Amino acid sequence: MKHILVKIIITLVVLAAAFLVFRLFFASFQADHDGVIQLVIVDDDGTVLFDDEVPFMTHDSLFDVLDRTFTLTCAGPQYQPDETCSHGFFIFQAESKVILGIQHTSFDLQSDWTGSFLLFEIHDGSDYQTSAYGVSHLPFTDGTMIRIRKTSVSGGGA
Amino acid sequence: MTAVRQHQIRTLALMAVFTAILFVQQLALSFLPNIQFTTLLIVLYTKLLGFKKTTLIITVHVIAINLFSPLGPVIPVYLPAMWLGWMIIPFFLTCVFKHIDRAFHLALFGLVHGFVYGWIFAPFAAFVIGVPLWTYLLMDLPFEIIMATSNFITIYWLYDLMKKALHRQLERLYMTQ
Repeated sequence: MKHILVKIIITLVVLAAAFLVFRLFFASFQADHDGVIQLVIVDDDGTVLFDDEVPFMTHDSLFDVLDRTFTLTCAGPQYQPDETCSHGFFIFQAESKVILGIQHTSFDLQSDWTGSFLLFEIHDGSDYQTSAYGVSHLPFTDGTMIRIRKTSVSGGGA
Repeated sequence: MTAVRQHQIRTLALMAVFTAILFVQQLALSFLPNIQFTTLLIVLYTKLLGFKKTTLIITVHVIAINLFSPLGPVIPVYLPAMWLGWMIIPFFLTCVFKHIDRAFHLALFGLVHGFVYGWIFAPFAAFVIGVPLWTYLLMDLPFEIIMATSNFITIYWLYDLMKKALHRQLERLYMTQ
């Protein structure tokens, strides 16, 4: 009986540790101050559709910033276009949004997930590098340069 | 038929059954990312059958899972990564960790293996997908954690029970010659 109890406790400890690591690594990013990011949006043929400063506020994620500035199309549960952006993908309670399209007064950039997607890149001081995080988790601060590039699944983008 | 030939045929049949179990459970659980009994089974096979036979089972399994997986066709670049990833288990359990036989210690081995398996895949996957290695490693971390946790729990809870049951069956199989 004692042996089983020890087993249960050890199992719960391992599960709790896995859960905590998930929470630490994959909690949504929220800005801790107001500021601006330099945002560039590029089509798959290399055309720059948007290149301007976008303001953010405390507690904003990049998704919040984009949602406030543009009309977004997100991925639904089956990665179908969802203009309400109500669906989030959950891994251990960490919510992740997937953006399929961005619409503005001057452009409409849409991807379909199977053939193309929106790649997030962050400027490291010398060039744009593929971000290790998606739109809900990408960390930024005042002056961060972010590029969103429509990219083909098979052969890269612009 | 000589006793030796009979023994060989039974062993071959046993390996075929073990390979089929490995294949079927992985397919059956493929809708759950990285949650499977594969690590537990390979640990069991190594302990019961040894390095050579487990190597054969893994080789057939890796080819079969890539040929018949309903989730997609084979990507040849991944084959060596998958084979190496699984071969770590019989390799280490027959040399460095040869004397480890307690479920808890093997479960810890399974926990570490969950991460190492992902790291072996990383350079191959980063090459195929065309993303930087660091980006891939970071994005793969949740799946490594799931696999490590799944390995730990399945080995910790089922290793002793399954080893006892399989050992009994093996004894019966070879005693009826």
